[in-house]
Amino acid sequence: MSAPYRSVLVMGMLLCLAGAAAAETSPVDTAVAFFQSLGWQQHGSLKNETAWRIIEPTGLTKIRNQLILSETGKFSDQAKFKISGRFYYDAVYDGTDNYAKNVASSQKTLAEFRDTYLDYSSGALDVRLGKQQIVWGEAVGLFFADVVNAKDLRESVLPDFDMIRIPEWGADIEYAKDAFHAEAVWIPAVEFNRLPVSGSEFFVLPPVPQGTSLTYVDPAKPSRSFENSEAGLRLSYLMRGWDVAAFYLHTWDKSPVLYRTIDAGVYNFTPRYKRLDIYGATFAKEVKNIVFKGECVYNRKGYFSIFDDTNPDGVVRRDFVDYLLGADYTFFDKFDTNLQFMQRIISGYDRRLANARRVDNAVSFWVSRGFLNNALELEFLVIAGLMDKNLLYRPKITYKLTDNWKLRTGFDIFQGDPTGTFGQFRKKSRAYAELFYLF
Amino acid sequence: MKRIILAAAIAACVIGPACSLAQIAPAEIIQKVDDVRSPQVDYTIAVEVVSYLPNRAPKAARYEVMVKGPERTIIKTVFPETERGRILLMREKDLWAFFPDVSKPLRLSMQERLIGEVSNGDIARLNFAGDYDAKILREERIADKNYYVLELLAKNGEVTYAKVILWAEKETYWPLKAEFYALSGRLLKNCSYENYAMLAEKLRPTRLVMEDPITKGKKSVITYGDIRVGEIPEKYFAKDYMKKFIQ
Repeated sequence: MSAPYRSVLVMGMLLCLAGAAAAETSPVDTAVAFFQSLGWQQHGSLKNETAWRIIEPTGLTKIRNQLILSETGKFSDQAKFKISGRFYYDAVYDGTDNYAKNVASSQKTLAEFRDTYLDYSSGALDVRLGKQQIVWGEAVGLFFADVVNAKDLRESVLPDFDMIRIPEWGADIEYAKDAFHAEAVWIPAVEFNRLPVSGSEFFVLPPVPQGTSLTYVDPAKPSRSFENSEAGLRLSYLMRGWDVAAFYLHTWDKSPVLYRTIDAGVYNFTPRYKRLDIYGATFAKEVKNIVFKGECVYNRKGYFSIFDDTNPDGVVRRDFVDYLLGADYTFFDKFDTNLQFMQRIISGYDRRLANARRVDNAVSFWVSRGFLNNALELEFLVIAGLMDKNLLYRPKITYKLTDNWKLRTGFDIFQGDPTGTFGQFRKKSRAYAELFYLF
Repeated sequence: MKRIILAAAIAACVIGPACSLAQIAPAEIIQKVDDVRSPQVDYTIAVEVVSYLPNRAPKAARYEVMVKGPERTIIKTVFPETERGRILLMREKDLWAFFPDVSKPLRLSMQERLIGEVSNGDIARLNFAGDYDAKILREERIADKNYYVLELLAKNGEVTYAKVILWAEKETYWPLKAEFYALSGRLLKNCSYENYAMLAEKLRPTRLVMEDPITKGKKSVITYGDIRVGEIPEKYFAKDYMKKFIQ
């Protein structure tokens, strides 16, 4: 298919997504000529993701077929745009009886705008208006300073990060002068984390004592108003190879706080979204071919569930710090590696806090090696909780079949205590295969 | 270390024949070689890298490379589709990569791989004069032309290659070939500079062949194509701007 005709197809589908009549108010050839004259580009991907749970009861957990389309172009040298959409259908919910209807309702289909924005550039100033991902931080394979966008956590943190992040409608205003960079963000249409529903593969039970009954109501999202918008500022500077940044974000806790009451021994959860103020700093520096990276995020008065029946709502607030130190190095010109150490420190720790320690340590290690001119790539990532020996192993093989086709296969293996970050999914370990067609 | 792609392209000739007879400092020679390899103005150039392995079909990749001076480079992968959208930024000796599936710039070292025998620095950095201390080892006569044979030793550990042996023609300062060595002394790559043609108003090498010295037939060929000369805004060469190039 020629690029211009593809352009028409892409634009048509995106218009459909918007609910507009995609149709033809003018002949296709006219539209083709129009897009050609603008020099717009169309790209996208088709992808099948199939996953198989390898722990009893084994079975298919995903047969997702996904289409991503994007259209980019410019109106002038100063004004550019991107429109993109994502559509998927997961056949596991019709082809098997592995999941209940509520899970199918949550995860069977999706049609949404992805990054869709207008870029305007003038001198040292750049503005991006629209639905976008705003990504801060230096860490590899983990979200630390990456705090702006809400996350789709229905498959935990296993998908590609650009698919985990939920683009949000807002404004990103940047000013750059020499090595200095300032960025102000404003998000009036706040999104919240998409969480796995009860019965789904990665559902997480609210914290209750074993054997306790509970009720749970879906939280009401704050209305979209100026008062409920999010705002932040990030300043960065590059000096002698030191890439340092500091930021502040007035945001929402993107996952609901689990307020609860206890009635006749039953825990009744009424989750609510709460405000949060986050302060952070990051750095990166290369020394003798080793890239050192660090992130530190301070959450002021974060929310924790507490196992204390005398506490009226089961929630307490504590300041806490997450930080990460990492290093990248390439061994023998062939093995790309990354090693990261992470720590969380909770101020005013109470041993009754749910799933929390005064100090929690974790490490991650990633190694990648390319073969056949990088057509074949082997990767291995392990994330380990040092305090409770929770582990996530992610061996992966990617093979570029042609210039457009790519195959990826691997395992996501969880281990550890059933109450641990990864151990809670120990029976959800899976093998998967993904086939991509990119155009 | 890594020299950027683009760098390789430039041509030579700034110097007249008379100069070749004069005493010239090694540092001045490699500066003149750099002037041949890369225009000393802002420019955007199309680069193709074809990688060969014995008994396998060649694999091609295409890049759009933006250069501002000797130490600012952006490399946008435009082909194949499986890698399209990957962007590398080199700013002095610092390197970042933007991967579409991560959607954020990640700091890299120059040694990480780009494609085949070509490392990030091969494509992103072409600044012999800034990165190496040079001395003249000897002079050689090859195919009726006289060449300086220079030994280039890295000024620090931040470059891709610890040592380079470079053959530069005495009259024109056109690079003929180079050997790239690791810190251990192991020969990593042989490179030849070929197909001199007019690029940005000068004759410059438009084809680099980088061969693996151990595996016969394993090589990468870098070809420089369309070039557009024109000022590129400084702000493009910032890691926070990389996301603006995504399409």
